[in-house]
Amino acid sequence: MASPVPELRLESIVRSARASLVALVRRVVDGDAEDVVQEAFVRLSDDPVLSRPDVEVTAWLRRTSLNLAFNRARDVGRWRARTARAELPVPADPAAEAVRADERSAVRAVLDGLPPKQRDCLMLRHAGYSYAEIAGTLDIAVGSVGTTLARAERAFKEKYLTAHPADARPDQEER
Amino acid sequence: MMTTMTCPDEGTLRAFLDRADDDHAALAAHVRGCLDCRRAVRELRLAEAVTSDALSLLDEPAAAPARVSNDAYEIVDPPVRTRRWGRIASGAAAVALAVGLTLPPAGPAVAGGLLSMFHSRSVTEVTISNADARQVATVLQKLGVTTGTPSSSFAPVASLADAQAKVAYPVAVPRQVDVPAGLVTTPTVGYLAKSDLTVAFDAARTAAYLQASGSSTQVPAGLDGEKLVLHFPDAVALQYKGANEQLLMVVSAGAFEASTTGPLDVGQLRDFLLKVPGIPTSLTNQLGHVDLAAGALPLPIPVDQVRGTKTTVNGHSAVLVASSGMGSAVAWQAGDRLTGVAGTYGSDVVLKVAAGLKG
Repeated sequence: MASPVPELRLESIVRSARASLVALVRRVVDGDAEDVVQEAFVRLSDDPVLSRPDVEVTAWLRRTSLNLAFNRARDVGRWRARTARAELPVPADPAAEAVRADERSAVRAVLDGLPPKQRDCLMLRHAGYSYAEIAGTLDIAVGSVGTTLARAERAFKEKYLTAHPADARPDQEER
Repeated sequence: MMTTMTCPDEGTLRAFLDRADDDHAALAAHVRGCLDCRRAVRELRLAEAVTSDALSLLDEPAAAPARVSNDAYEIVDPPVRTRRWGRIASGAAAVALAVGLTLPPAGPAVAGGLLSMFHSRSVTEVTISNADARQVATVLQKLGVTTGTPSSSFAPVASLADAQAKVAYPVAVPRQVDVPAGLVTTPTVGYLAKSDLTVAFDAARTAAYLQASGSSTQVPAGLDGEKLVLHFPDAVALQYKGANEQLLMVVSAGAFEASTTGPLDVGQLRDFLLKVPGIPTSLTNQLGHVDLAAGALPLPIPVDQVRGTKTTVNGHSAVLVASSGMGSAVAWQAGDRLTGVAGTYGSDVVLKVAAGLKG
């Protein structure tokens, strides 16, 4: 429940939500994830949602963090500059690393081309959130999550396979 | 056959795939008996698989694995193919499973040189999530270079006799009485050639990875240039199709083998790989219970997609996989033949075909 002192409330929310938000956002922005989540918390401190129940605040944080993350990833120049100094666990083949970075940004670009609700639905589902949590975050009925997800996946598949024709092969193997 | 339930909407079917529906058993029964819903579910599953695969590229660690796209375990392919299934049961992930299966319960003392070669004698299931399979592939690519591509597609063969002439084991054929009504009576026959997949370990890369991961594990002497070779068997598939997209497949294959070319045996490689950071513990724990000494071959079951259970076929340990409303498959090894039966049917039909096989 809401703590009477907003600063304390914010602190406890930061403590409990930070790790899962960073994990979610890292799928979109790699090294910038901590920054993005920090920014979401800063915005939260000024937002009236802070007086709402925890579950609504967390949902707001997820939505806001994903929005901020995609906004940041959209800045391609900045994104590339950052991947250049992203931590690499192994001084592996730079060409292969570049291909992987390209693949990841291609996936992000397709996601970014979807309506935000569909995009966030995919991100949350893939990060392992339950239908109830997804519904809460997107502010839709639990019974609508399946429909949103089905539309999002179909749209993603079409856009992604158009951009990556090689991946269409197993599709054709389908009888 | 047809249930009286009204066809559910797309959102409900999508939730059904995630088992997030309200009445899974009733929906499964309906989907099984409804051609329209089966088609819809298949389309949804395909979109889900493509999306999930693509989004997996965004999972940690930051360096996603290169793509692997060949089915190492085609013989237990469920009737509805998805990219995810193919990837999981393939390439580098299969290498890890094969190495993992060299886990003898009593440790290296028992294994010794005996395990420098592995020859499968039975099957057992290992569940693995999509994310874990990718993780394994990623780690292996840090340690060396994987070459070779296991054959993944069956070439058409004119007749059963022609196929039989190509392989050393008897091709399993279902009794006509067990083939479900509505399917063709003469199957299409396919042949899959033998193939190898090799992992060449690189000591310098391995050391760099261990150091970067903060691991105190030492690179074993003799690792550099050591090769692990997986020998995928040849196989013959009999395919029975129906007018309404029903399908029954019976696949016979030879035994699976793994060997090393250098000073380390498979058991020693196993011991080392288990200490490499990044191999998911959920996987190593399972592989720790696989009885390698008895030749148990772990078949990877993608846990996010289907359920795998143990069963027996004519007294042989078997792995049964069932995919909600879509079909089922069973695989086992008897003598030097691995056999798989898969179909767009419930497990009762598939098990009946399996029990009645001739040859």
